[in-house]
Amino acid sequence: MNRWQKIAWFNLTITAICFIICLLLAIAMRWRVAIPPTPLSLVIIPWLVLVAISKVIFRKKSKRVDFDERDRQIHNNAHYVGLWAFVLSITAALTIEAMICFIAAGPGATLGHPLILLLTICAGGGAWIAAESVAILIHYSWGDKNA
Amino acid sequence: MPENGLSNNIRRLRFEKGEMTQQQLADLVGVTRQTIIAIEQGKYAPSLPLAFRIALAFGVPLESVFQYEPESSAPTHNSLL
Repeated sequence: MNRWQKIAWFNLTITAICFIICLLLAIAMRWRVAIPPTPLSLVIIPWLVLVAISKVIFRKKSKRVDFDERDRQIHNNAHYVGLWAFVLSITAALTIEAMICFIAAGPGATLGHPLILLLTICAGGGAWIAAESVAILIHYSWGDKNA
Repeated sequence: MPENGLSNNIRRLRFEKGEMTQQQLADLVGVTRQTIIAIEQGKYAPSLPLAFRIALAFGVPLESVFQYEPESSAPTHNSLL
């Protein structure tokens, strides 16, 4: 497993853990379980920091080349996959939110709470990171069976 | 035959060049070992500069390392004339 696969696994794991924590918090809020109030920033900020510093955590160990034309091609493809995942997830989330709003409160309702938009963007960011990581892992595993 | 019609003799040339390892070849041409593995297996078509660097590393012409067999639907030299 090369450095980029390790970074992709790390980002995917961190994103999955944060997604599960957010899901548990949402369930707890829905069923009004008595938990101490947890600001979402306690989940989102560590996620952003860990994803941002993943290249420092898995730094280059030897002087050998660890990023060449094939890696660049894989990363470019993965960026496109991530971008599409971001756009699709934001579109899907906003559509679902609008439908819920329309059904629950009628045609005059608005998505006024700024937290909803922030959470939607964060969810889109999570989808981007997850999709990009999965694309990187698939690309590498396809040509890397004997590595 | 790989999907892209490109085949190569890298494995044979490595062994003829004193059992050169994939890592040694990768270091010589400035890529990762995984890229050499992918090229050898026909899963990655290298860029032209990289193909020339590989040929130079073995000291042979490019066509001794890489061969291209067009698919039946692809235009051939004769069909273009």
